[in-house]
Amino acid sequence: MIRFLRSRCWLLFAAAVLLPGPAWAQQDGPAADAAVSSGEYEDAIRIAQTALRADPNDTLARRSLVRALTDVGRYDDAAEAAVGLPNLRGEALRARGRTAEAEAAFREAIEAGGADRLDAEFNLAELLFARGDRAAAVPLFDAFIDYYNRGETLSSADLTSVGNAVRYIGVTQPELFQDAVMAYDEAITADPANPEPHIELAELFLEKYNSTEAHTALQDAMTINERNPRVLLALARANAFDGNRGQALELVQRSLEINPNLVPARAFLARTLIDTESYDDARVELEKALEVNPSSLEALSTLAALHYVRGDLDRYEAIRARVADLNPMYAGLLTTVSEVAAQHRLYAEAAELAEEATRLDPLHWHGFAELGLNQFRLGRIDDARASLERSFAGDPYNVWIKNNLDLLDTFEEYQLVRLPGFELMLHNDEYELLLPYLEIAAVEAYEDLAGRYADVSRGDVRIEMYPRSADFSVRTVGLAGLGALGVSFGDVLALDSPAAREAGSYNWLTTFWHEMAHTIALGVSESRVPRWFTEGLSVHEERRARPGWGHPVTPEFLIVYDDGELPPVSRLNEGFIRPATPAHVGHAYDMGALVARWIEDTRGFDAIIRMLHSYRDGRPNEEIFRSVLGGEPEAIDAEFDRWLREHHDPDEARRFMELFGEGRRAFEAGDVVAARRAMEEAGELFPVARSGSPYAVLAQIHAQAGDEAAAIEALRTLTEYDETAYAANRELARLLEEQGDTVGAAAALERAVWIYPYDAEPHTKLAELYTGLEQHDLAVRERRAIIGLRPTDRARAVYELAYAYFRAGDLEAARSEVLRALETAPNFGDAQQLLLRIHEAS
Amino acid sequence: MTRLVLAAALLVLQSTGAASQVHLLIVSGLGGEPRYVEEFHQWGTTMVDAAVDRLAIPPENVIYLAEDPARDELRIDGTSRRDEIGSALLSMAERAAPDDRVMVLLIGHGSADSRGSRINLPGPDLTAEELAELLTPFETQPLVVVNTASASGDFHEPLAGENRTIITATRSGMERNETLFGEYFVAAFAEEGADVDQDGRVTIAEAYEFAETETERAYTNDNRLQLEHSRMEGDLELAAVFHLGGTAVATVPADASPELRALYEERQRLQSEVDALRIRSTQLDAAEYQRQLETLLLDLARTNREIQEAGGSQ
Repeated sequence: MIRFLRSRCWLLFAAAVLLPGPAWAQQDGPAADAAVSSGEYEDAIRIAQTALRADPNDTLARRSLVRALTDVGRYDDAAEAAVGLPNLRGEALRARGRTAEAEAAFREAIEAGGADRLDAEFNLAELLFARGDRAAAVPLFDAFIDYYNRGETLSSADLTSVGNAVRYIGVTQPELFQDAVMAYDEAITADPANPEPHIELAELFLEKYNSTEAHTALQDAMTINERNPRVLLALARANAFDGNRGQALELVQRSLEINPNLVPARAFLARTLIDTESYDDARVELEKALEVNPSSLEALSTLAALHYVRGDLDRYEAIRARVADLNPMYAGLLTTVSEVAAQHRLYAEAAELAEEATRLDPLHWHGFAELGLNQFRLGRIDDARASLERSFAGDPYNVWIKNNLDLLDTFEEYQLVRLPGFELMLHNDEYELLLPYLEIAAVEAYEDLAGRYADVSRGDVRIEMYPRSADFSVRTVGLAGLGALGVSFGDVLALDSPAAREAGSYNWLTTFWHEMAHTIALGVSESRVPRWFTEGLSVHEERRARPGWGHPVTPEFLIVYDDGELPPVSRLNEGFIRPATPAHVGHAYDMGALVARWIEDTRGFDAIIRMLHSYRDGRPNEEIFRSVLGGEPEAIDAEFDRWLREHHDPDEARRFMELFGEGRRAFEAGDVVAARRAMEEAGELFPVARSGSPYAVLAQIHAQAGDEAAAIEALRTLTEYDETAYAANRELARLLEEQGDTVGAAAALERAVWIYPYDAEPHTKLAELYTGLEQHDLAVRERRAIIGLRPTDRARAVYELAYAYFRAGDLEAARSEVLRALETAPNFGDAQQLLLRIHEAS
Repeated sequence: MTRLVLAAALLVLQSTGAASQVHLLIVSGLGGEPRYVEEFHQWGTTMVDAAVDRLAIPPENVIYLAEDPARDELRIDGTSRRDEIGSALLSMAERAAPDDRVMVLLIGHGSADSRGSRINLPGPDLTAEELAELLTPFETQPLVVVNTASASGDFHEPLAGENRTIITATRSGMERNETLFGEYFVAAFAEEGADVDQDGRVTIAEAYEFAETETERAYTNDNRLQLEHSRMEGDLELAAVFHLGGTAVATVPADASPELRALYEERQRLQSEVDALRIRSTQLDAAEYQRQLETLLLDLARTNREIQEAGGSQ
C-alpha cells in the first residue's frame, strides 16, 4: 500500500525589510511602528509615548505602543493603553487570563467594525473554542471561508485570521489545512513585513511534523524581526523537534528575556525541563506562567504532566479538574501528559492517557496518533495500525504518522519467529542467517540478565531487527536519520540488523545486549529508572557479557572527566540530557558504566537492585544515594572520584594521547621505528581509544616487516578489546590457521561472524574448523548460516548442513536436510551416499 | 525459470544431447579505458580456459576474438572486427553437425539509440540486426547468444528465433552503465557454485541464475543501487538442458554389460519418478510427499551405488 502525504510547494519569496530611516525621525507614529516591527521595543514605547503626549489621538502611535507593550509582556499596561483599540485590548487581557473582559473587548471590536474586525472575530471564536463552546465557535470559524471567497481585498492580518480559522475547521475537513497554508502565503504577499503569518505557518508545519518547512518560514520571520519573542519561541520549538535541545533552550531563553511573561514560552521551557528530568526548575517556570495567566491550558497541561510523572496523582487530578472547569472538551491535557509519560518510557500509561483523550474528543487526531505510537511501542501492532490509520484519515498531513504507517506496511516482508520468552521479527532476507545466532544470544541474555536482576517476565520480549537503518529510525523517532543503533521500549526492542551498517562499524549483539539490559532495568524499576543509571547499567552489562564488549575505559573519557567537563555522579543525568557537546554523551555512557561497576564493586550487586526498586517506588535520587549508597550526594561524588582515580590515571590518558598522535604521525611519515616505539608505549597504557588502537597500527607494522608472530600478538590484543574489529579478527584467523592454531583461528572467526555475518567465506572456514575440532553443534550453526546467505549452490550447502547434523549425531535433522538437498539435485552423489549412511546408521 | 521445466527437459537431452558437440565463439570488444581492456581480456581468457580445461570442449571448437590478438596469441584467434566475427561464425556453421550446440558470448561496451543496439568493436560496431544476419547459417543447431555488454537489452528482439536462447546483461538499451553480469556468467563455468542440481554440468539456465544472483549480491554488498538487470528469453527449455560439457556425464557406456545397462535404465526410471513426484508435490499431503520422495531417493541412491560397484559412473 502506498500512502501519499499531502504536501505543498512552498512559495519562496524575499521579504522586504522595512528599517527605520532618518526620514521618519520627524514622524513619531511611523517611527514607533517601525521600531516595534524591527524589535526595538523600548524605543517604540518611548517614541509612542512621546507622540501620544503630543497628540493623544495619534492612532498609529497608540497601536504601536500597545503592540510593543504586548510583545514585551507588559499586558496590563497594554490593556490600559489600548484606548479605542478594543481588539488589541482583548488580546492583552486574554494573555492575563481575564477571558470575560477579553470576550467583551473582542465583541466591542466586532461591533465597531474597524480595520481589525476580522482579527477580533477570530479572537472571539478562538476564545469560545478554548472554553469548550464549540457550538458557538465553529460557525464563527466557518464564516472566514465566506470572507475569503467574497473576493474582497483582505489585509495581511485578515488573511492571517482566515488561515488561523480554517486550521480549526481542518479538524473535520483536513483539506482546509492546504487552504490555511494558501491564506498564510497570501498574507505574506500582502505584507511581507508582517511576522504573524510566518509564525502561524511555521507552527502549522510543526504540528504536521515538518520542521524543514517550519524552518524556512521562520528564517523569513527572523529577517523581519529577530527579536520577536514569538518568532524566537517558534524557532525554539523547531529546534527541539530536530533534537537540537541546547539551541532550543537558548532560543526560548532569548524569547523570555524579551518577554518574561510569554506563557507559551514558559510552558515550552518547562516541558523541555521535564524531558530532561529537571522537575524543580520546570515547576518554577510553570508557576511563573500561571502567575501571568492562571487559565493557560498549555501551562496547566504541562503542570499536570509534571505531577503525573512525579507520581503526584492527587495534584495531577486537581489540575485535571481545574482544566475541565475551564474547558470540559479539552483533550490536549491528556495528550500532553501522554507525550510526557512516553518520554519517561511509561508507554502503557501513555497509551491509556491517549485513549482517554480520544474518548473525550473523538476528533482529536493527535490523540489517536499518540495512542497508535504507544501501542506500537508496546508491540500491539494491529491496535497501533488501527489507531494510526484513524489519525491519518483525520489528519493526512502528519509526516510522522505517515512514516509509521508506511513502516507497518513493510511488516509483511518480515518473519515472526517464536522462541521461549521471545518473539523475533526478522526480515525475510536475513531471518535464516540471523536466527542461529539469536537463538543463542536471546536466551543467554535473558537468562543471565533476568536471572541476576530477578525480573519476572510479563510476557514475550519482542525483538525487531531492521536491515534498513531508515526503517529503524522511523520505528524509533518517526523520521529517518536517527544515528542510534537500538532502542528498548521495555518489552519491545528495535535495532539495526548487521545489514544496516558497514562491516566493522557496528556490533549488533552488543547493541542487542545493551537494549536487553534496558528492558530488564525498565522492568525491575517499572519504567522509573533514570536515564543515567539505565544507560550505565547497560554498558556495564555489555562489559560483563563478553571480553571486549562495551569497549574499556578510554583515555578520551578520562581526560574529559579530569577536566571537569562531566557532571558528578549525583548529577550524571545532566551528562545525557544537557551534554556540553554531542561527544560528551558518549563520555557520560562511559562514566555511567563505571559508576555501575563501582557500585557493584563497593556495595555489591544487590545495591543495584535496591536502587532500581527505589526508583520504582518513586524515591528521589538524593534519598536513594543516602539509603542505598550510604552517603550524601556530595560524599558519594567524592568517593567515586577517589575510586576512579585509584583505578585509572588521567595523566596516563594524556600521555597516551601524545604517544598515539606521535605514533600515527611517524607511521604516516614512514618512520616505522618511531611509530612502533610510540605505539608500543601507548598500548601499554590503553589498548584502545575512541580515536583508534595502537595495536591496529602495530599489527600493520609487524605484518609489513614479515614478523607474523608479533602481528598475531598485536591482533590478539586488538580483537580482545575492540568489539567491532571484523577485519582484524579475520586476519588473525588467517594467520593463526597458517600456524596450525585451529582453536585460535576458530575463536577469531567466531568473533568475526558475530560482528558481521554477511560474508560467506568466514562461515565456511569456521564450519570446517569446527568440524576439525569436533565441535559439531557449532559447525551446524555455521552451516545454517551459510544457507541463510542464499548460496547459488544451495543443494551443496544443504548437504553440508545435513552432514554437519550427521556428525553431530542428530540423524533426524540430517535425514531431513539431505532429503532437501536431494529434492533439488536427485543425482547428487555425495548426498546419496549420506542418505544411505543415515539409513544404515538408524 | 522453474525447476519443473528443468526436470522434465533433462530427459530429452540425455537421449539426444550427450553425443553432440559444443561450438563456442567468444568476442571481446573495445575496452577504452585500461581497466576495461584488462577486465574484458580477463573474462574472455577465463572463459576460454574453462571451456577447454574444465568443460573439455575441443580446442578447435573454441574461437576467441579480441581487441588485441597480440596480447595473448595462445588463446586469441583473431581480432574482434565485424568481418572476422562473420568469418568465424561461417566457419563454425560449416563444421557444426545439425544437432551440435552453439554459443556466442559477447563481452564489451554496448550502446543503444534510435538506430538500434550495438556492441563496440574495433572498426565498425556490430548491431543486433547484423549479428542476427550472421547467425542465419545455424538453421538446426540449438543456439545461445549471451551479450554481457552495457545497453545490451535490445538484442533480444532481433535475435529471437526457434531453438534459441538469448541472454543480455541489461533489461533494455537504457541501462548504459558498466555491467558486472559478464564476470559472474563466466565464473559460473570457471568456478564452483553454479551447478544447482549437482549433476556435474552447468546448464545455461544455471549459469544465468548464478550470474543474476551474484550480480545482485555484489551490488547489495557494495551498498550500490543496482543499475543492470539481466534478461533471459527465448527457448527456456533449451536453456535448462543446454550445457557446455562436464565431467559427470550420465550416459550408458558403450561397453556396458547387460546387468549394468539394466541398472542405468533403472536409475533413469527412478529419476523420472522423482521428477513426476515433484511435479505432483502440491497435490499431496506434505508428509506423504516426503515419504514417497524418501523412498524414491533411497532407491535411486542404492541403484547408483550398485552402478558404481558394477564399474559404472555416477
